[in-house]
Amino acid sequence: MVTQVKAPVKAIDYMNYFLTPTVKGNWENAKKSEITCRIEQSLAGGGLPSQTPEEMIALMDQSGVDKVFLCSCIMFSYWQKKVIMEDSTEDIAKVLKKYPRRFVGMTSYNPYRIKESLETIEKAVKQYGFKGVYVHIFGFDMPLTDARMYPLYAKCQELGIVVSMQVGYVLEAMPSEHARPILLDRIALDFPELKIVGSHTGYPWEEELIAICYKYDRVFFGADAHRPKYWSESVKRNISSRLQDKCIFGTNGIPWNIMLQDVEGLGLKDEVKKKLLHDNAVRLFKLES
Amino acid sequence: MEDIKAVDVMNYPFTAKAVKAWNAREFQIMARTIFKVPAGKSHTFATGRTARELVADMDAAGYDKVFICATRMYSYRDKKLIWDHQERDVYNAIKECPDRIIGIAGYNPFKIEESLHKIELAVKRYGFKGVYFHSLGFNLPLNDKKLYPLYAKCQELGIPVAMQTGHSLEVMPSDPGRPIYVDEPALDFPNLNFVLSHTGWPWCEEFVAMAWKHPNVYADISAHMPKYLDQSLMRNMDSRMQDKVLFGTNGMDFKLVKEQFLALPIKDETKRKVLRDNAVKLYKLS
Repeated sequence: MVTQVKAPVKAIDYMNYFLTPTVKGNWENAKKSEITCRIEQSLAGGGLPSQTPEEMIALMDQSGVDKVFLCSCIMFSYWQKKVIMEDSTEDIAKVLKKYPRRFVGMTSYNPYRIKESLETIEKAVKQYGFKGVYVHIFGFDMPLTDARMYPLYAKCQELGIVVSMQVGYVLEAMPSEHARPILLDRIALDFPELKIVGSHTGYPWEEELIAICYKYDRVFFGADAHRPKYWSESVKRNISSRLQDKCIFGTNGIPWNIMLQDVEGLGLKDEVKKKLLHDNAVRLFKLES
Repeated sequence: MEDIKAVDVMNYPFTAKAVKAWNAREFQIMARTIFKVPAGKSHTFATGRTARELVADMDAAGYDKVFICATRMYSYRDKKLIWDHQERDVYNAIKECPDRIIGIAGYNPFKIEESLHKIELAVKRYGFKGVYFHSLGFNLPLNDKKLYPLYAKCQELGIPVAMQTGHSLEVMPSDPGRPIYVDEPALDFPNLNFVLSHTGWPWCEEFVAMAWKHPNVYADISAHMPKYLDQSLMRNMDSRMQDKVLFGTNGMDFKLVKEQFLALPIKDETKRKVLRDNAVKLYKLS
């Protein structure tokens, strides 16, 4: 007689990067000024790994991760007033082509180059099958509600894709207040069909992000970038109760085994854990399983 | 001087059904205060015409083309649309005279997605050549975030976007119409051509400054009778801005507006450019 063993949940990491040598080079360069070392400390030190897709897949298999989102991230320097992390849509597209089952693409936006960005987004979605846009607003020094962001929201709404935005404070040497989660309120009102993820938990304004996710069906809580064991009591409570269909798991590059071990330590019900790690992302991004 | 066949870049829906829009409270107040129509008596701003009748009027007054703007106008007091001209209605009204009557789409910044969809349809399916936007009742300056999706869409479609500038003759706030508010959008959308409409009065210097400074900002002198045209604007139109100014009637009498324009003390070459050539070039008309 065969005993039925429940298969462990295969996780989806909705918030990660593809660290090509170029991206890593950008990062090392930026470290000389505005990228504070706190980030690398939180990654257990030793600098960022530059990984091939094959190395990533091997690690994903070891850690029980089914799919990983590769987010292109344009980062602008608050001090130097120039782009310090460039768009990597084309590099990500090559990975998607080779491993369409394991990776999901998120392209990026530069509010100082509206036309060029919108063209990239359109191409990424229609030609390469990207599922959304990731925004890192801080160095641009404009609020998420700035006029120059509105063409992005209109385009995402038109294309039916998700816009994922870092909200909360920022670890880099950039001002944080432009990404207060409460700003998503007005954006959601002005774009009534737009699907939004507030990423990085919104810390230290998690309550604002929880409030917005509670209010709008189409605004999701990005449970990423902070180790689950440090998530606030309120975040943990909401993940297992009224926001259980609205939270999606990601790492922001923190090793999968560390993040998933922490999630295990939260003592979530199986059903809630499955929603957080897998089901909610599948539904939001219309992923093939 | 040869007869110049004018292009009127600023006119409104003209059918019997469409002209009912002039009955709105805001226009009747304007009729009382500006045209001194006695209280209680309603004013007829326009009588309905068919496309062929419109073309006959154009022929009689020496006009080659007229732009019909599917304008959305919002009541500042009642917070609802008082003009809701639809692109489809305009298209149906003008389609029998495609060489003479040009469709221009509208925009409602409180319905972004729906408006963008209609603009795209109007351009791709109906052959409309641009968008005209009336910001005043919405109380939104031209650099408002709710207009940025419009600018991005027009840039993507390769069509000019026109907008009323200057004060509002209707009972709506005027400040949103200051021409200086196009400064930022013109920088943020360097591949989009903007047309500031209605001379910008009482801020004609801002109007001139914007069209002079930005390679992608144009200016139309519609809505004011040419004989009252601001002196500085006229001087600029006849010199450094001669390739940037367009002509329009804003629905006023074809013959009168053109006659007054032709009587201005400006160069013949300027008259030809403003009455016709600049619009043909900007809107890629044949």
